[in-house]
Amino acid sequence: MRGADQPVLPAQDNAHFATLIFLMAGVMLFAGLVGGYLTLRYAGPGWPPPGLPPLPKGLAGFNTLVIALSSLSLVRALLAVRRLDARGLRRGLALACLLGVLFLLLQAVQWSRLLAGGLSFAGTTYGTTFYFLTGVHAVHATAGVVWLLVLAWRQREPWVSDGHRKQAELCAMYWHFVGLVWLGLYVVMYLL
Amino acid sequence: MTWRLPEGVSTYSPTIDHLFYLILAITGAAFVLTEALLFYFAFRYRRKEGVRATYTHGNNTLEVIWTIVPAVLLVALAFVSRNAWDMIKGQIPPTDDMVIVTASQFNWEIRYKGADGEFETPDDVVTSNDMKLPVGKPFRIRLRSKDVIHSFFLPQFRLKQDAVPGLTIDVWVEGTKTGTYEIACAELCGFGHYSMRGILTVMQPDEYTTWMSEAQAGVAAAEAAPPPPAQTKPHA
Amino acid sequence: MSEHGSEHKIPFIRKYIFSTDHKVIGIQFLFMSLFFMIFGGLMAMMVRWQLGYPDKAMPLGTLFPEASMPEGHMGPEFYNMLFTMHGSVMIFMVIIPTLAGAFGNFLVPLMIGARDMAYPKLNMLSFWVALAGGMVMVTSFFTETGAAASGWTAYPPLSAVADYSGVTLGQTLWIVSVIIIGSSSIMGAVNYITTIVNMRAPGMQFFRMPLSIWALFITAILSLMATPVLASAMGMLLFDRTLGTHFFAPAGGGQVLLWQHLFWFYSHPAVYIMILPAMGFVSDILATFARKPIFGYKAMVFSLMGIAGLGFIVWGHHMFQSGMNPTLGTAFMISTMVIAVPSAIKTFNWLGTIWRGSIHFTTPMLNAMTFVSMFIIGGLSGIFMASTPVDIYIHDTYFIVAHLHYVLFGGSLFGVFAAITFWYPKMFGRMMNEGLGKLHWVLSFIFFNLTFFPMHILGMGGHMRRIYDPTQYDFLKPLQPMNIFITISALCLGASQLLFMSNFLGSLAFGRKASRNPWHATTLEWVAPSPPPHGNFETIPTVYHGAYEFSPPGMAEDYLPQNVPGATTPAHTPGVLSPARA
Ligand code: HEA
Ligand code: HEA
Ligand code: CUA
Ligand SMILES: [Cu+2]
Repeated sequence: MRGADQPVLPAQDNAHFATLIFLMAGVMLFAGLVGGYLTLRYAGPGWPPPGLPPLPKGLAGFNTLVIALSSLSLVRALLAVRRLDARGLRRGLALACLLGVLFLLLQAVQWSRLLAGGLSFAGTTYGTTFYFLTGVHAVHATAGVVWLLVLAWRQREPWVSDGHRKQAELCAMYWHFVGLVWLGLYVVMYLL
Repeated sequence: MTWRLPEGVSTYSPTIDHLFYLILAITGAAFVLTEALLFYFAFRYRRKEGVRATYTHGNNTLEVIWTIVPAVLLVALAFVSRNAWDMIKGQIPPTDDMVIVTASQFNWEIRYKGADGEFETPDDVVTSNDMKLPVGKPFRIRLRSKDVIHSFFLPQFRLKQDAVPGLTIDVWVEGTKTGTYEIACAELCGFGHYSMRGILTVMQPDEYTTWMSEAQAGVAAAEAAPPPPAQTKPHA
Repeated sequence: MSEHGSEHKIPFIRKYIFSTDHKVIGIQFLFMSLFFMIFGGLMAMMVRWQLGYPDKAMPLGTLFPEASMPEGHMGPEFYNMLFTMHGSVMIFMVIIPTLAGAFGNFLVPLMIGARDMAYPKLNMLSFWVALAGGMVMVTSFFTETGAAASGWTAYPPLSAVADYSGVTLGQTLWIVSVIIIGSSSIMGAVNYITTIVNMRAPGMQFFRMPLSIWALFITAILSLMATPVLASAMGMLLFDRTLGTHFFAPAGGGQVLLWQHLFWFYSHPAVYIMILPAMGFVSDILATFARKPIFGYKAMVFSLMGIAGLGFIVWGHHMFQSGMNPTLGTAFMISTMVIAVPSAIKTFNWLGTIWRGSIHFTTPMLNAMTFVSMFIIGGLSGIFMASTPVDIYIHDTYFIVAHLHYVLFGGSLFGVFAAITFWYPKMFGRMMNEGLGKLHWVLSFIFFNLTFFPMHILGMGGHMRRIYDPTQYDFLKPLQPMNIFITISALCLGASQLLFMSNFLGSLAFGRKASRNPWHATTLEWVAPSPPPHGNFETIPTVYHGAYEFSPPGMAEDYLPQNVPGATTPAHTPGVLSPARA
């Protein structure tokens, strides 16, 4: 609702700013979850408890790389927009989306392996926190993948409309957030 | 129904009560000052024909004063409180006497050592909602809970501590006056929360010793009577 | 509703029901909260009946199902549900939606000179989501085992294991409803922050904003940062209840105290969410009716920020006796003491504002002054509890109940009364009845204090909170006459609210028509017609100075609206200046 007689020129337009604010809420959500995780982990006796499989550092590490590449591809997509290169944008979006799908698939592989290895969801806090945190993250990642897919799908014209550019920028902010949260989770849950 | 705290009967109750009254004095002064000003200004500066309000946006000196003065008072209060807190909850005076209180919906299980001088053996003296302590001796109280959170509350002793499932929490108390007092549960623990009441009797040490040896003998007798062979422990 | 402005015809349903107009949404929030206030208040009346007359059947008690009220006499399970839902409804469905939802929506665009919120549709969604959350909360009463009964703080294991409380679906619905209401808060917060940062009218610099806006802004930041943490805790509790996980169950490696940390990490900031906006409104109202600039504007802004910032590091003061490490307790005590300092600054600046003013005792002013005086009492009682050793004795007693009602009712709710009576003309284009307003004020003031002040004395006597029948304890028996006294006062307090309700509803139809600026206030909402049309302003105003130019020297009028260039601009001769155009 910004009329023509609205002369204050904000430093950032509403959509970018609001997205940033929304992501702050997301950060706090994960902060709460990680806080809970750390409490349970350092209050408990052993981590992982005896008899339960450790988390697959290697696989998850590779996945970190996947999501990082996905973010990188979005960065390149946005650079393409600057050159008014619509195909570059589309390719970047599609690649990011594909890598996102790969990320989710690898997460699923991780879960099924751990489940097979005897790590149940409800049995121990070790298992619960792992599935819960990665699960909540995966929900966010899925939303991001869908968003990327929609944007890539819609970007068919040989030019980049203002609307598409903005959408791509907002989506990129969100996707970087998903990637950074994953990096945080990886460091805290797998490496620490 | 009084405006004062009920009589305190533990060694640290005077400390808590003094702090309470100290805070009452400080906040009372703040209360009188601010409310009096509020009423006075309301009366003095009510609208009058031809009198205009003073145009002022504030005064930095005043701001500094009313930031610093409360800040100093409050931080000082925190430091005074800290000592009392450390004395009451931060440490436990050296004592060999201990009682284990296990809360469950809606009951306090009170457990003393049996004749063997050890806890968690069949000859423990166990009562329900009935606690006895000798006067003038610091006693360690070990709190546990079987189900939900309860809170062990001895109003006249100014002692309150939650009993938390999964945690073992030690507190202490030293009674200064013999008599019968009530144990209350202060944390909502279910529909019976209001009725989770126990009795604490503070006795002369010799009375207490007599009661204790009788109780221990009672347990031993009960145990000896029907001898279930498998359960007789060597030290019983 | 408006004669001006909205030339384009909007169908009724889009205009008043599924409206995206911030003013309509604000008013919807207001009606919703008032409805829930009756609901929450009536539950309080039942709580009081039981505490005053624990062995008498409640009047009309036989209307309730036998299971909860055998022969009209409530059982302990039902009592626990009542205070749990009383607290939850009052906090989540009355105070937060009124302050942030109703006034946040109504005031933010108007006071910063915008035509609407940044995201009107998101705004509409936030209302319907909040209403849905409230409905879920109410519905829980009608489930087989009744509503949640583990207090508004829902401490596990009591709240996590159905066997412990006997409540099955009700507690789960409570969790779900809090998550829903929380997401509504986050939507609102995103909207307010974006709108305030990006959509201010020309000249509306940050340090020219009225304190109401500052307060709403900072509140939005608080709820944005704190609510997601509550959501994470609620998610864990939900899983513990439904999927058999063990976040809070020690048997499976969980930590009982984790809940309290997460809950209070949200709920302490939340108590400031419940007071900061009221502080803002009261500041504006005091300045308006003292005809005097707010004293120490910047100090007021910085203390709001200070309260909000420190609010994130004091949560442990609810857990002093919980078994948390005593050294941590000391740290939380110090931070709690420090957080009282910005409140002190605010209090003294309010006093400074009325000092040498020219005070008009209108209904909003009386309620605003009551806010100040009751907040002082509630705040000062907080100092007792902040002192860890004293808290040993008074924790979980009526001292706490007294504190929380002094800040929440004496503070926030009187702030709401002040705000409703002040902005009513702008909201509905009609004035409320002053006589009735003053009568409601004086009765509420008296009965409020008669109800809640004695609770301090109950607390000093060791009277535990959340107990169904105090006469079970010998040491509480002497206090029973006071309980009866409180109950009678509470019933009178409740009945006094009928005056407010009738004034509020009656004035909708019979109130005197309001001019644009009936109080001769300076902020931008008074530049718009009463009530403002869709789009608010005929032309977006330009702001020339701060929000508190009352009684400036050299002017005949005793106020200079923000949109009028003013005495420093020679073009306007003071005497000719006529800001109220209606
Ligand atoms: C609007 C809500 C609101 C507000 C503003 C406050 C404000 C404060 N609260 Fe309160 N509080 C609650 C709502 C609120 N509280 C609720 C709902 C609970 C109970 C939750 C539950 O368990 O159900 C609670 C519980 C609660 C506890 C836990 C008690 C317990 O369970 O044992 C504590 C402990 O420290 C506390 C402290 C404080 C303090 C220090 C302030 C300070 O911010 C107050 C500062 C203000 C002043 C001090 C007054 C003005 C200052 C002056 C006049 C200057 C001079 C003063 C001095 C020099 C002292 N509160
Ligand atoms: C904003 C918050 C708010 C408000 C306004 C109130 C208002 C009231 N509260 Fe509330 N209260 C809480 C928040 C609030 N409370 C919280 C958070 C708790 C803690 C819960 C917990 O422990 O989990 C609590 C707990 C609590 C208890 C403690 C219960 C216990 O520990 O066992 C009591 C007991 O007296 C009480 C009483 C009252 C009364 C009498 C009112 C009255 O002021 C209400 C008056 C208002 C009305 C009655 C509404 C208007 C009604 C009409 C217009 C209809 C006409 C009415 C009649 C004819 C009677 N409250
Ligand atoms: Cu046990 Cu309350
Ligand atoms: Cu708090």
